[in-house]
Amino acid sequence: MATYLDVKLVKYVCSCSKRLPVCRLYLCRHCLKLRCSDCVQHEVDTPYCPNCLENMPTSEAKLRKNRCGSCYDCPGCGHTLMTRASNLTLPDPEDATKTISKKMYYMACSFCRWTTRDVNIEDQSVASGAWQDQENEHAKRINNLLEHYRKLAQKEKAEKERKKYVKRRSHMYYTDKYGLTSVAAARKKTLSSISSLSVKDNEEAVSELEPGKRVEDFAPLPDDIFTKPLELSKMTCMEQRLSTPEFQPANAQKMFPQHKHLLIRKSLRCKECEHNLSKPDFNPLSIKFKIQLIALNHIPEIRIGGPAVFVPNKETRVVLTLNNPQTFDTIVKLLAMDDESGLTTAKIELPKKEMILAKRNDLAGYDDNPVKQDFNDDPSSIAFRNLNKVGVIVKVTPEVEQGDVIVSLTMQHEYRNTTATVGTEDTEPPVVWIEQKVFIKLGTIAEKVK
Amino acid sequence: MELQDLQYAHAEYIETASGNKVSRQSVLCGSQNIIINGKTIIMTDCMIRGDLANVRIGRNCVISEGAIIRPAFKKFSRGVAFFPLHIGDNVFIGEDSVVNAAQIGSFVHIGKNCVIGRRSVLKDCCAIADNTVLPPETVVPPFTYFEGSPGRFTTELPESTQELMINITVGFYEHFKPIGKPRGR
Amino acid sequence: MAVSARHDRGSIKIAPDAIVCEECTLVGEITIGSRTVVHPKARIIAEAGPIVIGDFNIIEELVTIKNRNTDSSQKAQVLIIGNNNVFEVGADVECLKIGDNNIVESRAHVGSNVELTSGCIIGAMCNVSCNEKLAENTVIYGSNCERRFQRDKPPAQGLQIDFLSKILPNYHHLRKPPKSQKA
Repeated sequence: MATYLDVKLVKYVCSCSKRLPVCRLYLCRHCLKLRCSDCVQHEVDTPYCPNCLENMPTSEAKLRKNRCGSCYDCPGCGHTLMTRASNLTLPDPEDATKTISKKMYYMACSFCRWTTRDVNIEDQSVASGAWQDQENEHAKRINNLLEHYRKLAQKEKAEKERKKYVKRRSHMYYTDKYGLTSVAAARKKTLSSISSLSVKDNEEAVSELEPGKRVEDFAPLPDDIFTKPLELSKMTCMEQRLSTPEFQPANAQKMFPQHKHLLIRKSLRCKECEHNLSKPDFNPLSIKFKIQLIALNHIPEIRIGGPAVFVPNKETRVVLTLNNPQTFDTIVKLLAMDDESGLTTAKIELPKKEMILAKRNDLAGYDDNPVKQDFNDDPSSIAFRNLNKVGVIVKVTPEVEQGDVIVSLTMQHEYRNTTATVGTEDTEPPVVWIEQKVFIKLGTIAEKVK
Repeated sequence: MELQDLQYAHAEYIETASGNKVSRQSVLCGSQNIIINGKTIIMTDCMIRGDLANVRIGRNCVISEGAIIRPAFKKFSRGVAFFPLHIGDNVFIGEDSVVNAAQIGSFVHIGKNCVIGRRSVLKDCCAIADNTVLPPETVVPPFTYFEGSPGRFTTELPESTQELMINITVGFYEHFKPIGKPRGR
Repeated sequence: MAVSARHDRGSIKIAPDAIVCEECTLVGEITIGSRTVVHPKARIIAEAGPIVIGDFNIIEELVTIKNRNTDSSQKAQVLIIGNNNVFEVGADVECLKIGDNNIVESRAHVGSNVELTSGCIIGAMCNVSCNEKLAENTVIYGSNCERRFQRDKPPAQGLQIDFLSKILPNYHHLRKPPKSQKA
């Protein structure tokens, strides 16, 4: 598992020539190439709040500045605030001699014990939704600037579009800062010709912006600034100030609950063929995927069988395990690789014969009498077989005196190309060969015994 | 690296009909309230507080040495109640972690030395780094990785988390072998 | 379940309405006050001097409260814990003076030179071992043991004690005070 096993030892080379552990890779079944999160298109599917797990459309999330409307973070430590109820006794308005108890709510942090009462925010009579947000004194100026730049960007976009036709996409991109794709698409519907486009452009002439004012002078620092002892418990720390860049409270009395940041569910798209590589379920709670082309489900996984001791220029026998995730017996060839990166520090001797990996059988664990496998293995190259796993013996000779022992190899394996048979049932999908380059860090050279 | 065999003294563990392996050195309080669904390993010096409320643990979980599973309480206007604690399938709980959660989904990895605060909810396919303190009532959404004190979202987990967790927990069970020899890693 | 409590040298005084599970370790001269709950597998070790625990405290499993003599030249001192304190799972306490209404959270460590006054909270996994007296209502939290003061004292755990007093005797053998003390 990504957080338990040391997955960084075996790295596959992605089509963008980055080296990554296999669990971080995707296999595009249309291009038949490995992809990683750095070379695919990320698309926002659903923004959701990590606390209440409520999802909302992207447009609404944008309106709320990608923060949740009902969950708040503690300004002191960043943990989520909890709403607490307290009973308040009030004099009865009808009968002055009696009192009535009323439930009042405040927010408290269960980690650092900060409460809204600490900064004199009044308790609310309803549990959620009544908390007032802080007013940013520069909000108007920021909105003016935003509007100005949005218009500029729109103009730029329109000019670009005149030159080339951009396909309309249904998804918002990660990089779409000003929400223009949808604006541009809407405009395209109404404006049919270039001439009308230019007319409209003139109408929406970019307004002159009031330039920023220079601050001429500051009030001098108070005389006791260097002599007055600091009360650390009343000051905020850097992290607390920067968590609200628009206010940056210096005094702990000015700290204010912060709306919780949203997280996103995203889908991934191959940049070359524009097919989806991963599309999660709409519900942020679900762990199911509509499309999930992770490499781990399609490519034989190589792991190191166990730790080994390495001595410079001496041959060591190492067992690598190959795990077949596909549901048919797969032929695999291990070949030497011309390493151009210069990372390899050891020579590896691989089995010359190709080998068969048994198919994956999810029910094997429940089967009392497992089917005997017989693949006529060469005992000099195959250490063991266990269901869909095979242990391959390789011989490694380190070529350096000290440091990491890294080998590289090319793995060619069969892959059943399921895209070719779409629409035509009955026929077996054709088998294609694909090739992966793999770097394996087997260990380090043993310290010389003195 | 493949998981290496982890050997234990045969006499030290009790193996149930459903394949649970429970250390004799663990403490299961109120064992009539503890349900363990099968092929789960409960290692030495673990403590499960079934006396406080029901505890249900799914299949193929690993509760490492010294971990404490303890239902959490909540105060109501009259009296307190301990919440039953449900742990899903293929969950790995690291050494010496204190789990006070209300719910732990499936395919969850909790590191070593963690404190999972009262009534926290860990959804499916999430992970908690070693030495993390999750404050009370934290919600950990799927495919997120929390670390620090207070535990915060730091990174996303790969889409293959479910496959990896099954692989780890099932593999761990297969490599957890009884033997007369002292165990070694 | 096989480990039974260590019976020990020294005298142990337990108030009649305290709930002390049999499966905990009590060593040395210990006094446990009224309505205090000691969960199984807690360890209270009066090694260097006596330990006196007040009323309405909760001591959860794997808590270690130890009167440890760090300076052998000094006379043995008494470790005194006041009322309404909570020691959560795995807390490690060596400090000699603890007032009222404090919470020591899971796996926190309080060294022998510290004094807890009242209403203090030592956060989970925090370590306090300097020679100091913590002011009232101090909260220590986070990975860097940051500090602040809270407005109110943490609420008393009376309701939890009621619940535990009801439920623990159903599942655990309790330590009963010797008959001579009951009178």
